[in-house]
Amino acid sequence: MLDTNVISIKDWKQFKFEQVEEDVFSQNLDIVLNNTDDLGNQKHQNALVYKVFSSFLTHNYNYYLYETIHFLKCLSNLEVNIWDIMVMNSTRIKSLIMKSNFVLKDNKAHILIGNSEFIFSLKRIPTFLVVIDFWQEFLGIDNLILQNEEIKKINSQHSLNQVVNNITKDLYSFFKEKLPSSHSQKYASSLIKNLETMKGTTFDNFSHEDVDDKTIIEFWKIYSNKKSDIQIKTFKKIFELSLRLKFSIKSNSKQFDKVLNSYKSKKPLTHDNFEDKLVLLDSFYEHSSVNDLSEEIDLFDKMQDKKINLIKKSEISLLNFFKYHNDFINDIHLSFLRNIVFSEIQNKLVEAERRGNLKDILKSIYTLKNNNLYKNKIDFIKTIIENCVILQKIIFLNLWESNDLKSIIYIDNFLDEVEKKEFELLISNFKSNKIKSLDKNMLASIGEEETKYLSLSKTDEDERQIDNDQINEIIHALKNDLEKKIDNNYFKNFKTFLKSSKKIKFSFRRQGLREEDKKISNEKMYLITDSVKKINNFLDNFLEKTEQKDTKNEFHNDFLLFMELFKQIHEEETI
Amino acid sequence: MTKKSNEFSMKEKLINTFVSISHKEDHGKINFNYNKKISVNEIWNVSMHSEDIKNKEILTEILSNKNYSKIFYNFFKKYSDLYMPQSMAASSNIKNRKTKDFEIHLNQSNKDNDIIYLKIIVKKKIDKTLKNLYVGKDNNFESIDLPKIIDKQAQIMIKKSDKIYQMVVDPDTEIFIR
Repeated sequence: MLDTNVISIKDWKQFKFEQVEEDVFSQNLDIVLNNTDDLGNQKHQNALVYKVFSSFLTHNYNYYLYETIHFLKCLSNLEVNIWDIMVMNSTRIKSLIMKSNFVLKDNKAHILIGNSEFIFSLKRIPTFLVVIDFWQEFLGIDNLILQNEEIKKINSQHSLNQVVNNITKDLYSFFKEKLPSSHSQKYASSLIKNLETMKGTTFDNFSHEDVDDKTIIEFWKIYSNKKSDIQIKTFKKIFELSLRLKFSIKSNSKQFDKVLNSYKSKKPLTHDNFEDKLVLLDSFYEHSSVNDLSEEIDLFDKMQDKKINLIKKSEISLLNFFKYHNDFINDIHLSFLRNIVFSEIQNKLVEAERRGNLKDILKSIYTLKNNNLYKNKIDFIKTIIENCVILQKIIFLNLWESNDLKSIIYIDNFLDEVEKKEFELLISNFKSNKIKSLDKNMLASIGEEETKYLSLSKTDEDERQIDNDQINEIIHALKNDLEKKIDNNYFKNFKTFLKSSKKIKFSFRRQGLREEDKKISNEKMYLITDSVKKINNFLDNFLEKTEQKDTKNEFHNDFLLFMELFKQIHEEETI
Repeated sequence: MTKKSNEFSMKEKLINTFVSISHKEDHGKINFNYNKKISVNEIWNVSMHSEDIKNKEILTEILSNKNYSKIFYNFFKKYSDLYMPQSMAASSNIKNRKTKDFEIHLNQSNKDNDIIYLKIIVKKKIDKTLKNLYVGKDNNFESIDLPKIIDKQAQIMIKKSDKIYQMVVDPDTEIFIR
């Protein structure tokens, strides 16, 4: 069925993730529905299975689990293991309990754990059995066995709660990876509500620009407060949520809606214009994410797994702050900077809390008050840019020296202005003298990238089967002409650059580039070059914005504010 | 969603976008494929139908996991007619094993040193026909078909080189008859 709700994010191709509930959990559900007991009979009533299942999907399983652990403890005291319970039907289990001294009047059992007494109805046994089966389905048998041992050891209400908490944590980790979290909905509603209060207007009139540096700080103040209905303890999270809110407002703005609705008004919604709508939505998304660095950062992150550190871990860790929504950098540039600096400080505090030396770490952090950590980070970004430039040079030199013909396409990055003009002239002469004499089929065979680069025009007629040899022939001829010019000192700086190859490579001996390292394919080298270039362009743009701000003053004020809020969150009074 | 217009309100759209983008950014790398896991029911099934050749692969998988094999042996013991636990004997190689349920005697052939007669004496009253003898230890699990038990006794001819022989003489194995 075609949905006329043109703005629904579900329509976006990028968001066509698996249909979570149906695809992922239906198999778990089917298995529990079809489970049988040791006599081969269906183990559970369908209605009960659905009821418990929905409690898991809505994160409302806590009390079920709490009761079930009491029930299991009761049976553990009777030396019945969890796996024995799982193949028995409820009648047999009930008769086991009935024979014990756990039974009270009115079909109820009671168990004493420490000083606490817990009473459960024996009628609840079928529910407990369903809970155990889902627990096994979601977390696996190993988790069940592990907890079975913990259940045996329970000797106080505290240790029982600990077991329940551990299972809940495991279940939450399992679900949070698969369910569009209810937390996200809660965050969105709360952020909208608070933004309405701050701006004194309703969400219908919001512009994404309403979520500015000031608003984000206000969110930080609200959500870091222990009295807040939702407490968010890290600025990093606040920042991420604010970016998502900005994106959501922008993509649902009236202006955007108007453009989309024009598709509806022009003609009735058919499959074809539904496709048009998707194309429009896709292009919007692409435009919004054009500055995102997620793919580029992931590329270098994955290389780290293979021990290739072209971009160091510490550099990747900083770049990770620019993974998404960088098109908002102009609006909330300061928040980006705040996130980089204060998230790092907060990580140290969290770690100190864990190690029990929070007081010492707080003292040492407080000594940074008069430093300008914004400037330090900006300097680090400059270092990353410099490293990226060297990396680009080395990759180009490797490709050029190995006579990879495509390397000529990247030559622009290493020519000065005069040389660039000289090279343009070379191409122009090459086109008029040599391309003309080439067979027309050869022209057709030039790849898209090379065609664009050589400013050649191809007609539809020319679009034929590409022959790599022919492309190589053209590029090879061009490179020959260029090399002659270099030998004749037309490209002096470029020649010096080529000659300094050894020195440049020696200055940047990172794993993946050294002679003894496994060779990275040329194809991958080009991908790396493109990624590095994109990262550098972004960082340059970021620095340009930073230069316009008086970061020193901003830092001092921010430091005092953030430390005050950190004090509230981390409960330390020594600041 | 409002029922009347069948369209999301602006607020719902905004929240939808927010939730979707959160999901995408937080969990982009998650593999949603369902990974079939071994369940208690499956182990129980295998333990109940261990003679079934179709279960060999899964039996190997179960026995190679310490946790799964613990459950497997637990069920196997519970649903066997006769059971012999690990032997208390200090010897690393025993010729006779006895329990309250049954006895096993191993006698070498006079004619061929490699031939062993495995004699079973059942001490417990069993109404059903016993079909198989199983020997297990960790991830080693062997079985042999039993001949008809007459006057509570049965004898099987095996070779010294047979795995089942090596396991029966190992005091650390458990023996089950069904």
